[in-house]
Amino acid sequence: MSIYLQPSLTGGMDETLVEVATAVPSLIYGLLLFVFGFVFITGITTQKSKSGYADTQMWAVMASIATLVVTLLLSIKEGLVMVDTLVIVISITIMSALWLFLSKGRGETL
Amino acid sequence: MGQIGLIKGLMMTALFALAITMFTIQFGADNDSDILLNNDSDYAALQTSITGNVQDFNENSNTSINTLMSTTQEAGDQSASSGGQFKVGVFSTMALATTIITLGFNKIFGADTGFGIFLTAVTSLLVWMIGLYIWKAWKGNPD
Repeated sequence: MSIYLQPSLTGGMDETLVEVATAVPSLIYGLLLFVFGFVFITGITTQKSKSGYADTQMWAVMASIATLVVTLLLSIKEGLVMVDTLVIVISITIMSALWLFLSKGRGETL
Repeated sequence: MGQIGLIKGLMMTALFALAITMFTIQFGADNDSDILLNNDSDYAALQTSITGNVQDFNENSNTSINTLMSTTQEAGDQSASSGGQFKVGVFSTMALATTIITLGFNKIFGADTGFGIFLTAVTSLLVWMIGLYIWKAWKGNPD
């Protein structure tokens, strides 16, 4: 007995993705969380190892924008992300920008 | 971070928010997306609100700088009694920040009244900081 039903592969890649996302609702959220975490943690650790300083706020904005781009691509087809998800990603992006812009002191570059 | 840094940070955040929302809405229109940001009424209203606040900031700045440019000081004059030039743009940027922070918090954490105390704390802290910055620029360091 198979763990899950194999999705139909004849309707195109987007249909397959929608069927998988319908069968596993947490897939898209996991993907978005992975994108954010990957860019955020990789950026911080790489910058810190190279320069000894990690610009956490900037990497939060970069990770948010990367997540937003993926979310926008997923929003083209119905069944992958909801409006609420898109709104939350945009909210996190704007709050990250607020954190970045209010964190810089005089003379520091963005 | 001084008053200039604070106002600049709030204004940059407002422009960033405006750019991101407009880009997202236009992306949906260009690609005929099934999921549109326009379907969320709060974000559709945010654009109008931010645009209005930025225009208020523009008018206040121009009025204040014109007043400042026509001001003269004689030897021994005291500082201006109103301090209007130090207050310019502060309240329109404060409205910008409050609108953006409130919407962001509500969308991420929900509009639960119990969590609202965090929102109250953040906006109160901003008001307090701005008040001290105005006083500092107008009258010098507070005692």
